[in-house]
Amino acid sequence: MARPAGASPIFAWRPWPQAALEVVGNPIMPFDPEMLADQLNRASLDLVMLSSDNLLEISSVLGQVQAMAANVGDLPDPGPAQTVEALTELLRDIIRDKLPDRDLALGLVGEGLSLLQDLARRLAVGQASDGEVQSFLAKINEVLAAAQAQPSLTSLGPATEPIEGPAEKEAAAANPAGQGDDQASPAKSLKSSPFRPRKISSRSEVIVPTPTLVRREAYLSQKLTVDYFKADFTAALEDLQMKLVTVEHKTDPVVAMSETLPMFRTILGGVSLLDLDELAKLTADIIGLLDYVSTEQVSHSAAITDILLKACTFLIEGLATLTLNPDGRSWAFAPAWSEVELANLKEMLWDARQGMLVNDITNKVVTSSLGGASTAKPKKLGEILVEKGLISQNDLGGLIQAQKSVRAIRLGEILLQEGLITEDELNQALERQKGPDNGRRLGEILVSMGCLEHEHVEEALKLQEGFKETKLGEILLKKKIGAPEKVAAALREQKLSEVGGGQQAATVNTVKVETQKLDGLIDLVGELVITQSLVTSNASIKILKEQKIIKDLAQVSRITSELQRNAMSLRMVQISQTFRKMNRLVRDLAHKFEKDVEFSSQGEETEIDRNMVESIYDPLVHMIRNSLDHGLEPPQERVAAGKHPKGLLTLKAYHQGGNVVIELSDDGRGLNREKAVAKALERGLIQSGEGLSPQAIHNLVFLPGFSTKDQVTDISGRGVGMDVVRKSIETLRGKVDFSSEPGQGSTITIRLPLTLAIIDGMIVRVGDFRYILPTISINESFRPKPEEYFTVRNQGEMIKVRDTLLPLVRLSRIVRATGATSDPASGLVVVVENEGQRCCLLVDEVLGKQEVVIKSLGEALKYVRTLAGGTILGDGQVGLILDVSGLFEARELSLGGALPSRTDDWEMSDESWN
Amino acid sequence: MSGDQQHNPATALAVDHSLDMKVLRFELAGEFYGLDILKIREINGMMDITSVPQTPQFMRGLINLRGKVIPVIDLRLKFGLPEEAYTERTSIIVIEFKTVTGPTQMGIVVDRVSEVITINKADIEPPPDFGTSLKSDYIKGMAKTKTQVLIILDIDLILTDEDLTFGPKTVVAEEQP
Repeated sequence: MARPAGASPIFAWRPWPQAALEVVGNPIMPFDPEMLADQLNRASLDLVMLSSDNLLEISSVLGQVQAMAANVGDLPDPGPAQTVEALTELLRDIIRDKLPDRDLALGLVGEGLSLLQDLARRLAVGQASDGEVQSFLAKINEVLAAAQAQPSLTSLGPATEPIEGPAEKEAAAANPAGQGDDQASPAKSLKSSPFRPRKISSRSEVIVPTPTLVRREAYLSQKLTVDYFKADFTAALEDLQMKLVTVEHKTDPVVAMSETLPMFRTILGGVSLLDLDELAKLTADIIGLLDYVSTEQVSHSAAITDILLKACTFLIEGLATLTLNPDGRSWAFAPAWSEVELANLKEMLWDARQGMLVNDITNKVVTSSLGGASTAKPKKLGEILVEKGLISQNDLGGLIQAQKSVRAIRLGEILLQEGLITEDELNQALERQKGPDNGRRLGEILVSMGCLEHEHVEEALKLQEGFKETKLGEILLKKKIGAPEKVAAALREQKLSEVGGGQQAATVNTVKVETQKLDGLIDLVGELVITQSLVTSNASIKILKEQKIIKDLAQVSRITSELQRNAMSLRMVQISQTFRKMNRLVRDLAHKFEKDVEFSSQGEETEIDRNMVESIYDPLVHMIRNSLDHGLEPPQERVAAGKHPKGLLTLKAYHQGGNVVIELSDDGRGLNREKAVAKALERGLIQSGEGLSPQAIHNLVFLPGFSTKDQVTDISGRGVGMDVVRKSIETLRGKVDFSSEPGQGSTITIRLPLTLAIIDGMIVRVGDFRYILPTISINESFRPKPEEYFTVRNQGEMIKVRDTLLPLVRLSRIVRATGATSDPASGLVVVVENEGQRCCLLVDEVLGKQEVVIKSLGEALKYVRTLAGGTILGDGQVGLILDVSGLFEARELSLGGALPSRTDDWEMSDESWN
Repeated sequence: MSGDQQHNPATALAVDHSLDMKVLRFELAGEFYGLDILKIREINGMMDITSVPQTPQFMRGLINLRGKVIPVIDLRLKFGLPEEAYTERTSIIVIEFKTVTGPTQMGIVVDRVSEVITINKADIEPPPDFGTSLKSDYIKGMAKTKTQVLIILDIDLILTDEDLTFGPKTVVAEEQP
């Protein structure tokens, strides 16, 4: 095993144990196409949702792109790797603020991502990349070169150090003044204060950027500096530590853990930007472990929290040693921890991933909690800390004092820290409070003095409230007393002692069960249902006329179906949690877009498959962003249109016909149909706008590369938009519809199957075989007339469905079924749709419609692209579920190879169609 | 202990019983094969098999094993032996093996299953380079018993062979003591 190049001399990168290499994905693993597709989707979503002045969000995209670099590095075809490398370079320069037109550059990033998506598709069918990569590289080179005023960037080799290059030296010479400004700016002074306002907002939400981060005035003026990274990332890490510490107090620790993931990804992007390889690798390991925990491959335990906390401490310590060199453009980094310590930590992270972590802390807590259970009163955290010898009684006194003083923090201090008022103004106001304005509140006085706006006071008051809730644990962490993992252990103990104190009722009404066990139960129940129906339909039982037997059998079938319903419901959770997050998102975004929005949600109690909850989050966020940005008008425009200035955004969930429906509607301006058609024409997405029905125009929204915005704004309009939403919904076997009434508003409707485990299918027969087609991808089915059949040169066979010619795919050829009809007129065509493409599938007959439980076909058959899974049919036999996108691929392959032979006796009438 | 080793008193003294292993003996085209019973989950008679498109011929298809869908391969076809009609002695041996995603089951079709016997690992000789019709990679060794020679199969290798999964290998290699 070769040591990866580029390890710093301070501590060498330790090679992974051989076993780990083979089992778990890691930087040197072979190419994984599914992972790449996943990474691409994630990156596009991130890109769509970022705002161009938010560096943290951009570095999160950078993190994603770098993850791809590890994946595509091993490919024989250099195309994807080069593209990824170029994107990395571009993103770095965007973050370093070297490019004059950031939006243009972000557009390029979007272009690069779609290029990669394209390459990935071609890789899957074994085609190599072509000239597109080169032309894209040239484009990026041009942008980078223009920005750097360098003659040309001949090669996109490994990232150039920011110290090198003449342009940077010039910038460095020009910069010292700017650097000084940064130090003195109010934003800076905020960062150095121990209790900054961002603390409060980021406590409950990870994905939504913190207010300080999106505050334009703080950032637009601020160049990317080491200090910025140090301060912000250390703060972010401390927040993360705080979150991890409280993870176990949440009802669902796994969800709480996975909520920290995006922030860690952002940190990964940031540290790799500064070329801090060690920190980047450590962060990557943390993310790896969190991934395993959030996908429940490893069950969450206290030991895992501890190891994560420890890793965070390492990161913070590492960042603390980061210093800016006197030249102002380069930096030094020399962490104090030894190589051995780091190696141990990494090993622990890997062990934890394999579920092999043995940690004494867990055991200790359990034993001491047994002792603690007898004491009836819940203990205070301080007592526990003193008992454990973590802090002395004196320290505790001091800490409680500190806690009190924090809680009593004054409005004036906050306003000062926020940089909203100067010290002079504060003193003046305090004077007036004592004198003429006696009895009035400080905030009122300041407003009347014209020093600040009313809303600022409210904001500050909110912050003050927040401080009042400061917990002892937070202070401990802030003051760096006691290692975070120890504080976590103490908090855990506190919780256990609460439970011992007689509050079990609230905590023991849930049981955590491995999903595997649950699936096993559901399998068996399904089997029971089948056996039960076999028994009841047995001929020799059916002839029995005895009343008792008939009654008992009816009872059995009632119980089995009840049992099945119950087993299925074990997988369901309420959608309320997701909705609540959206509520918050709307509030933040409305503020950002300067729109007045009233958000209402209905049907929060609607249940949805547990596995789906996470997957619908990103699409929902994107839809809401879209509605707020494109849909709802600014208040003035609304008033002009005779509407209430407050826009209405409604999120609804309900069950309908075996589906979960999620509906997002706004009462905004709606889709401008003429403009939509014009844009689609301009971008070459459609050939002609003639005779498009309103529905067809609405569907344009879902085309890749479509955007109605005239200008690329900072949040949307980059063209990687609703198609991403549609793709993510389709992977859940759901459907998205868009409808809009000009001037009245738009509605996006998502239809999802009730559960991922059950699929509504049509059973079709082809020859001697039966297959199941997911109903959701079926448009219609009919028996074609001979005159509706055509063969088109180089296109193969076609069926005319109303006014459109759709390609005919003979299912029997793809699955090599024998005994199938070759005459379309004696068979049946089923029109299936996938990602906007349609085709006609020729089958012999449709046997019926049935809800079937999807079963995995296992490792051995996962490369059979035409199958989505298997199921057990009513007669106990295995049925195969077709994967419509796989069928499309199979058809393309057969077209790419040889055209289907024309063995049919059909009349060819293709000439009239060319 | 089985009489296989006791017929020679001189070696019987030297037999190290910690090396004993139990194998299931089965028959395939007139030859005897052995399979470590620790890998075997259960043995079934012939069942309804649903064939799967776009798979090699030896991939017979899928069976319903009490609500689980399990792929089944025909060992005769996999080893390139002539195909024969299934009889009532034809059996499906369900094997359990580990993959990255957890334990997985797969069935293999054999002509007939005879018995479980104990063999000593010391009696297993490395596979010959020639003389059998199958790739010697699949053979762990040849075990001599009193009456016959058993071909001990490395079933993990067979079930995770690349031409079976049509993709990269996925099995977690088990440690051999």
